[in-house]
Amino acid sequence: MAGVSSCWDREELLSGYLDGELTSGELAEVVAHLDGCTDCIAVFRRIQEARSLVRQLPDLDLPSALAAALHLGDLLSAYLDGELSPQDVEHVGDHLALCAPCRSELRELDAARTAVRALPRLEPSLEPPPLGASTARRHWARRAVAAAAVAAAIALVVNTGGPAAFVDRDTLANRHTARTSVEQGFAVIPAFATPAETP
Amino acid sequence: MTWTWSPECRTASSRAASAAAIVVAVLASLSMAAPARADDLDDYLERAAKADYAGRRVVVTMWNGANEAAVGDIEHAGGMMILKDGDTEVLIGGGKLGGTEMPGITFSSWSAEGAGTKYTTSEATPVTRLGRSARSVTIFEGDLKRATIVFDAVTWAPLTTEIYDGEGRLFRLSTFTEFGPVSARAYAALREQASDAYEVVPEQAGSTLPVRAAGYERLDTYLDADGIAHAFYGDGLFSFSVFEIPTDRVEPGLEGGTAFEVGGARYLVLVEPAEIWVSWQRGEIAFMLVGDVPPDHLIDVLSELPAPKGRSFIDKILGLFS
Repeated sequence: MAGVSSCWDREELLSGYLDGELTSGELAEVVAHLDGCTDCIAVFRRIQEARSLVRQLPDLDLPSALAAALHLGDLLSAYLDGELSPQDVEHVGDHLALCAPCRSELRELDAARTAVRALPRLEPSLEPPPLGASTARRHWARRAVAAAAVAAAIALVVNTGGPAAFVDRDTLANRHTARTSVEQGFAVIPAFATPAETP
Repeated sequence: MTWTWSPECRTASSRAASAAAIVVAVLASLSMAAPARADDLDDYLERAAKADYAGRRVVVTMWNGANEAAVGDIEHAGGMMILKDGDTEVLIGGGKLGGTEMPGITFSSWSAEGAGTKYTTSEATPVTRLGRSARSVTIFEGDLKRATIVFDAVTWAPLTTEIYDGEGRLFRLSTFTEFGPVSARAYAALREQASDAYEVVPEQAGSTLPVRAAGYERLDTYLDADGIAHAFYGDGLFSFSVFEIPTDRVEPGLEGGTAFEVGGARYLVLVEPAEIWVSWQRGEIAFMLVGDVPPDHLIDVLSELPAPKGRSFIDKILGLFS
């Protein structure tokens, strides 16, 4: 993901921020940017409010014959991401108030994003995204990833009882060195050294 | 050594005495030329472990196209070692490691180990190192020269250690550039520092890893609360640890590592100034090996440990739901 200094891709970054999908570098950049950019703060609040509204929607039903032709599909993901115009937001809100299947789908999508936040953070792939992917395809892909993330999160909870933290190499090195220190050869075979420039 | 003998001026008894002297001298010279017993290596290492000294040490490892070096200040007293890097100090010894900016670590127990019969040593040769009287000892593995250690003649501190690979090339060099025969730290002070709180890693009964691997013996196995298993191997001179880590507990790969093949199996290897790291994966377990073993030993060891085995696409998909 690129930087936010130009606000060029702010909505995607802000959405990623709420989803816990940013790298530590991106996170620091977004927080610093939010501190000074009133436009982005407004967008950020709009995304937050949209997500909050999802949880408060009433359970009303639209006649099924009518609803099938009007389901929101990819608009739901864009709605969660704060990528819709004010008019589209209003349209989606009206539809959700009357359509139980879309409300259900929206809740699943939101739950998937919550599950993503519980997963261990992974650095993004260096592979560039495929060129020419349409917005609709991107949203479809996000939903697929979100669904897989839910499954992964469930598997993780089942296997270990909760999200696990990575062990770092320093910890392993320290254990090895501590154990080595009772060996006779420890004093003559250096088992631990702090890397430095070649003398 | 040249011996002359003049029968005209000798009595029978003096001839017998001379002959006995020759036998003694020949036997003495033979013992000088032959490698000393393996337990002499124990003696040398034990003396080095008890030496008190301080100085600046350079460590360089050269292998697989990598040259990695480190410089550090060392104080060694009472069997404990302090490594200093700026304001950071790491205290190591007696199965413990702790530091000014790191949590301490130790183990519930460990096995005793001797040098065994794998290595033999040459007679110590007088040399001068850093302007000090010293003794150079060569360590052999069979006919192969495996290491040369130059000990300070007064303290028995290891002034220089050279480790060679299976083809006789220098693989690792550790040498003091500044050396003093005393440590500013008192033994009691070091023990006091070492008595701070340490995380204790409990022993694990048994392991799926082999009891012996390429001349190394599995001395101890541990298992921490996070399910990370640790097997420690030694051969009396070198040692390595193998960690078995659930793949969801470790970053995939080995940052900075390069691909390395043993018997057609692919590993990632990372050369550091005093250690070599190897990582590979077998199913749901990530393996990390770290140790000071020479490269030819490493290759033999890897060929006797569980080999890498990737997961198929189906395995990965099923793994999400298992």
